[in-house]
Amino acid sequence: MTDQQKTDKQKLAFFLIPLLVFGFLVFFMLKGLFSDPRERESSAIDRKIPPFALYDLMDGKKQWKNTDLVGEVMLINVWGTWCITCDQELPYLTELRDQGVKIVGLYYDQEIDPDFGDSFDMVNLRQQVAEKLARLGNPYAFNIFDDTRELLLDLGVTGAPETFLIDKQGVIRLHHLGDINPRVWQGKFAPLYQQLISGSAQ
Amino acid sequence: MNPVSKLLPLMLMMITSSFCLVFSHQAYSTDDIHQFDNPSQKSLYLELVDQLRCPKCQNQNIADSDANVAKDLRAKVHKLVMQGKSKTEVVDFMVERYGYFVYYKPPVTPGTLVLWLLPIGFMLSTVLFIWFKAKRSQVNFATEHWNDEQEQKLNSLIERVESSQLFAPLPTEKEISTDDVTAKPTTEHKA
Repeated sequence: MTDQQKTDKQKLAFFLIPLLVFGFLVFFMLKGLFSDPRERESSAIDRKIPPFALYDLMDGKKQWKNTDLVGEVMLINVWGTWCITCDQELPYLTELRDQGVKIVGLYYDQEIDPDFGDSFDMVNLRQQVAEKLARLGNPYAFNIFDDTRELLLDLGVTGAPETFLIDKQGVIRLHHLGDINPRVWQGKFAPLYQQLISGSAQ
Repeated sequence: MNPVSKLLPLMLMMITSSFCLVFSHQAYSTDDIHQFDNPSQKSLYLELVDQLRCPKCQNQNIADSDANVAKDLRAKVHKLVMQGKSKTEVVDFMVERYGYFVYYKPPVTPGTLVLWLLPIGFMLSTVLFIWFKAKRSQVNFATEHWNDEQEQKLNSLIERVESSQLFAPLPTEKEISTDDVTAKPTTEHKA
């Protein structure tokens, strides 16, 4: 290799290396700029609904089990009357119910504090729920009351609202953090939902 | 008073405050609500709530966070510790439900390998770069080989520079017209 070739190569390296490093940085920063920090892969996906036996929110005698959630494609919507974003999605969820989407509520109660073990007023809660659903729309086939939040923990729920899409075998296919609006439904849920309903997806 | 003793109180202040910053998170971690059978359970619990990350918040451990889910996770950690579960069992329990996000120590997988190797690779390459640079710039004139060919090349280069007009200052118009004695004779230009 002659000296001339050597310096040419060095020049090229001096030009290319910073360019490549810069390109690499731009790529990751752009990715970071348009990524949602709350969006992350849920570990609940492709798992069956864990076993549970919990009472109905409105009826203290009726008990629901995980086997009650098998056989139909449905949404499980985690919500609470304390949750402001849930108020925003209730009307749209009601619209979806009217279109034939089955939605089961999983009630997330904040009142029962694990650190203090507060006493808690069930009658008052039922009143609040009834009033809210009468005002904003009731999308729920029924509501499961997870008083100890054990099921919520097993599902990897971080707060409310969150929504799961489960298939006919009771397997979780989607886990969405945040509210459901027309954009989220059309972009994230609708394609898979239609597929599951028509039975083309296993 | 010399400058060092003037700066001493300031330095002391900076050192103390940095100590406070480093150790402050441990002060938060104390938890008086949960009861333990023995000190080793308590230290395991404190270690776990310090290293598990709140899934709702962006950057808090479950010891610091006041989010509801963090409270539930603390209660769950306490329950599992009281059941005699080991550290890895509790971490696995949480990772199974909330993913690797929930644990502050990412596992070494093909996907995270770059996180572990990149800083080491960067440091190594920098050290090597500096070492080679330093080695190359070291020219030992005593042992450096100098042959006739190079001597000839050097001479011809010196000759070229000297014979060229490159380094002679170009006369300005004024200098030419007034025939300034200080202006260098530039035969080519006059010709």
